[in-house]
Amino acid sequence: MSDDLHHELLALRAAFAQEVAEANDEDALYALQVKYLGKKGLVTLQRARVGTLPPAQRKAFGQAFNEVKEAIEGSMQAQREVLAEAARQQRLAEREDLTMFARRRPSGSLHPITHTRRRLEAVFRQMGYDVLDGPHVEHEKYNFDDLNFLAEHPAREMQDTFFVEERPGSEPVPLVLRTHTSPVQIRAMLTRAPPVRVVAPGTVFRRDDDATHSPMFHQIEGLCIDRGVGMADLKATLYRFVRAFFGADLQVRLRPSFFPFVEPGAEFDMQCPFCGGSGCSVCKGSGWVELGGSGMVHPAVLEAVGVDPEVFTGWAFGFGIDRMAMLSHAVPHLRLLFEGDIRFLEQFPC
Amino acid sequence: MLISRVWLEELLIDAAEQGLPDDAALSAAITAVGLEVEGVTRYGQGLESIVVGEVRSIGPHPQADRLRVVELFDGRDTLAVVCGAPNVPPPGGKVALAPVGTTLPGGLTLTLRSVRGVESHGMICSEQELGIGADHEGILVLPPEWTAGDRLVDRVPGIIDTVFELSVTPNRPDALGHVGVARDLAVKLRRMLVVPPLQEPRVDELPQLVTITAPERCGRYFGYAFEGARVGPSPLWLRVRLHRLGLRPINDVVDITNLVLMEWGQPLHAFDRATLAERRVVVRHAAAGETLRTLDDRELELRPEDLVIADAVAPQALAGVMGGHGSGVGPQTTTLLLEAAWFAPSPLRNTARHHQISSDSSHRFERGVDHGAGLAMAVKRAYGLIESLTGARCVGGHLAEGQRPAVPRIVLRPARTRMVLGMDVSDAEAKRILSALQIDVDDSDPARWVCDPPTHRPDLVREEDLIEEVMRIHGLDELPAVACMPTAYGEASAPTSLREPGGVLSRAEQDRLVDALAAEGLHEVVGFAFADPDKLARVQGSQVLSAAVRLRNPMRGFGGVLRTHLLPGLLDAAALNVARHARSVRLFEVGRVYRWGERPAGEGPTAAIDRSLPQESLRASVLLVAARSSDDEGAGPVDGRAMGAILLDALRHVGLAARLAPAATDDPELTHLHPGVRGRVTIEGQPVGSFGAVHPELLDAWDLPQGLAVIYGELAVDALPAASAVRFVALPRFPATSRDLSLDLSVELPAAVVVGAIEAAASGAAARAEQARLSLEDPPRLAVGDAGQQAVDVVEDYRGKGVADGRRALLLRLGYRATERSVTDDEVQSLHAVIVAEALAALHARDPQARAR
Repeated sequence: MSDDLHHELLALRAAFAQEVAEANDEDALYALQVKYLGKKGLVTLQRARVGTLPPAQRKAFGQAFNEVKEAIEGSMQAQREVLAEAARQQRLAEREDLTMFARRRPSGSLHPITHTRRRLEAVFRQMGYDVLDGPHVEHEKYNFDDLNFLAEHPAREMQDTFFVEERPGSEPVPLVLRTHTSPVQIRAMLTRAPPVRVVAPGTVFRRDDDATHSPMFHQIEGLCIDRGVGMADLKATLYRFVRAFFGADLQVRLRPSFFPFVEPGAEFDMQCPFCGGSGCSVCKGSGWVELGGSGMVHPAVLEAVGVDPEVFTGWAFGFGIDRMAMLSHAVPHLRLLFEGDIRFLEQFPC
Repeated sequence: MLISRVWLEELLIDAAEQGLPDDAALSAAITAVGLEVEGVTRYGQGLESIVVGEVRSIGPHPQADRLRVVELFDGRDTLAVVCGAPNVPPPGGKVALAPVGTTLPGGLTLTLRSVRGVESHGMICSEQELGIGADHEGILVLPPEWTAGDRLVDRVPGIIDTVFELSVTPNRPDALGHVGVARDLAVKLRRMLVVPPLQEPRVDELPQLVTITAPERCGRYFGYAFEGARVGPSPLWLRVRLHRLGLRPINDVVDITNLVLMEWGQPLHAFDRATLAERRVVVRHAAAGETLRTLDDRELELRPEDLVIADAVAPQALAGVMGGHGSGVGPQTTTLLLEAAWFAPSPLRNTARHHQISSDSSHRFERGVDHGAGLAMAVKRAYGLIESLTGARCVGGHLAEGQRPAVPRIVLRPARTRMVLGMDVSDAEAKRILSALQIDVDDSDPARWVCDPPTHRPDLVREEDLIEEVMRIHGLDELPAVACMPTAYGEASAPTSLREPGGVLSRAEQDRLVDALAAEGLHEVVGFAFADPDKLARVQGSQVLSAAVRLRNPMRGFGGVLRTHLLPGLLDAAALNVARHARSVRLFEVGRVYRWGERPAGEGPTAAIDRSLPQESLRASVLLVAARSSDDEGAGPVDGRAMGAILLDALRHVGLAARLAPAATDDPELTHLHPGVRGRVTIEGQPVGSFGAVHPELLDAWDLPQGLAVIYGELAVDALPAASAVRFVALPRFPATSRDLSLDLSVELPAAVVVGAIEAAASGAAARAEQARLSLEDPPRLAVGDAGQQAVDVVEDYRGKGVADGRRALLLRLGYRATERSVTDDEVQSLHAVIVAEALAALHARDPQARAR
């Protein structure tokens, strides 16, 4: 083997060792790779010289060449790893304060009445009730007459009514803004054969405006018509509803009362969800919160919609969604619900 | 209805003589029988120490002309009291003495004190100071026969009392008197009801005294004539009793009628008989043109359907509603005609409502008072009181009869009672309750009891009413909760309105649209359905009011029509927010608008009614308000394009692919939007919504600064088609090629029109011919590229240097691809050239200078 050639190889190796130590990024390393190991690289060119050597020396040269080439490749790889490690360390040394300036999309909200109505609907759908609604402008026949509110009877004054003018040019028609969701009972019974199980949440109107009344508010009505249905079934349904809605074992009680479309009629109360019945400011110390009215559907109502009260009985109940929303979310003033201040609305994210 | 505890105690006795339960328990018992107690007020605390004082002497006060020093005997000692009242009785007279240490109802505690140099050992009280009357002109003078030293509370029942405020439902006229409430309590608390002393009138028949000429309106009329009455103040016990129930004592005759009203719930009326022509009354319809001046000095124009009590000549009272001014009882009265009657409820209510009078009397008559035993007993009670208190003597009477309502006979099945109540009420218990309520029960058929309700309960007409009676008294405390429920999952798929079957978004889909809008960072509001017509006219033009639904009796401050548009309400909310804080406002509402439109043509059991109702359409509306050029809390600038994105995204959320389309500057439906900043939303070419900048004049009208960007968008929810299920489209396996196209266009030509022209050209005849000419089985076609969102994306809208005024350079990027292979540049270029040429040719109709740049 020629010493010259050998020396040249060693010189190449030494030169590379010096250059690779100075290569401190991937681009420089790549340039070195091209310079030494590329098709026309300094090391590659040495290989071609093997043909100029006498056969006896070729083996030794080949060994030496391979040693140098592997050494160069090895240190290239080692340097690459050093660089990669350095880069990794540098990445990991980065520090960013993620606790500030979270870039959020503006968040929307659902009205508390919507939240509450949906939760109510879900509870009753789970119990097998269909959800219905009806027109806001209603004929007195459905809002009063068929519900056993007799004409010229003071019971009609239990609800302060908005009266609506009929279509211009039409013959007189007694129209009202529905004072309760109960006309949906009539519509449901007219369009469905028993058994009927529906809830009707919706907007209702009464001529009343003070700290606890708004001329427009929301109610949910429940109706069940079937064979052999009685007050115990009504109480069980209300109890199940209260338990599902408030997620607590709160008792329900009924108190005799009067609503023209039920007989017997009863108001229903639930144990106060805030104190569990021990008495607090919400229930004014009584342990009970008034929810709404209920009772057995009056036979005159069943007759008005062509259902035979000797065969079918049924019960109905109704209560305020707004009041339930205020109870659920501890909203102090009814007024907040309807004025549209976003600082109120955004507290109920969707 | 106010109910006095002391009065109830007089009416209820029990064998054990324990008296009534305490106030809280009594209140609970009253509520439990269905007469809800809404308030409890205690009176007279601290008045136990008031005694009867006898005046011994009255002397002048040495230091004050208007004060006097009265020496009083309190039963043990003689005390000096300083008094300023002008009506101290002469020696021997009796007054109410509040000794030192008394705390009066007003909160004043009396101490031994010097009044301008003279020590006063207490105070001589007026009615007002004792809280037992309104009189404060002078001190309360007591009957001279009372004994000095007696406690006032022992002499006058009801000074210490508890008054319950009952909310009596309209079906219970019987509970509008103490006897009725006591009757229920007697059954509930197992006491005995004792009625007050009654005096049977034994008088001469005077048939001419009362004549009924409207027998269908007056079932019975008791008239009694008295002479020799000395009308004056009522005794103290009567005045206190009325005062506790909120009535003002007037004179003994009127006070007696009010006492009987509060006791029996039976309205009575007393006429000064001397003022009546021919000293008799006629119960008749008013004649046309007749008038009546009422007790409260209103001149009523009577209608023939009004029932009056007339004398031989003219109306003297509006029957059962209010007495006349000229025939009332006053201090000069010596002759009386006492009326106790039953009038038919419905027409009486019509009269009271027409004349806008609500009296204690009409309140009871329109609910139905007792026409049987109760009426007779009320008469006897009043008769006895008038004779004993006024010294009057009855000289004759007459009972005139009209048509009394029939009392229904009701069959009650005990088995059905138990079924309906869901409680195991025994036959014996049910019968005890019904009998105690004075319902006549014949149980000779044990399965079908025949029941006759009493005349004081006009609400009992059918079986369920009696079942309720059993429930009321038996109570609901032991009602079990037994369900017979299915567990099937209920549907939420019913349409919003029962009268609009089909075609309307179901409640579930509506909820998704609401969710989608909230997900766009919007806050849901619930606005009033009422609207101010002026505001609607500003937004939609005044012609909209001809189709608006009007209220007959709107409330002040809430508008007289139902809203025809959601924008006014949202602008109100926006203005409120802008006035309260500086943040941007993002609101939406999904709600109904109302108008007289086409009559629905539906069939079905409710169709006839539904045809008389207005259209109620569902709208989804969005309002954005922010400072112009602001980056709305990270959501990008607030402008019309932001609104377009919100509406498109929300529709995509409910499975609907919508597009934006231009809107004409003179579109009559869009007068609420800026003429040059408006667009429409379409689905399959059909308009479903609109959006744009709110018209600057509306900003002024709502006092919103012009510096704000106020953007409105609206979807007609009823017009939205049903979403179909998502269908998968195969992923492209080969790359697409894109071509950029820069067009020189008029700024008046909307981008949506340009894109539409290109899309039309791509599927037009020329493009199809070119695709055929390329004679490939799988020719290139316009399609969504590898990077773009649409087949034709608008990349840039450039105006300025190099582009003429009124023109713009619109840079579009078109994607081309084939299905099963990569397309070549040459074939795409040739198709692109054909499409561009076709599209430009089409656009020349609206912009002759349109050209590729």
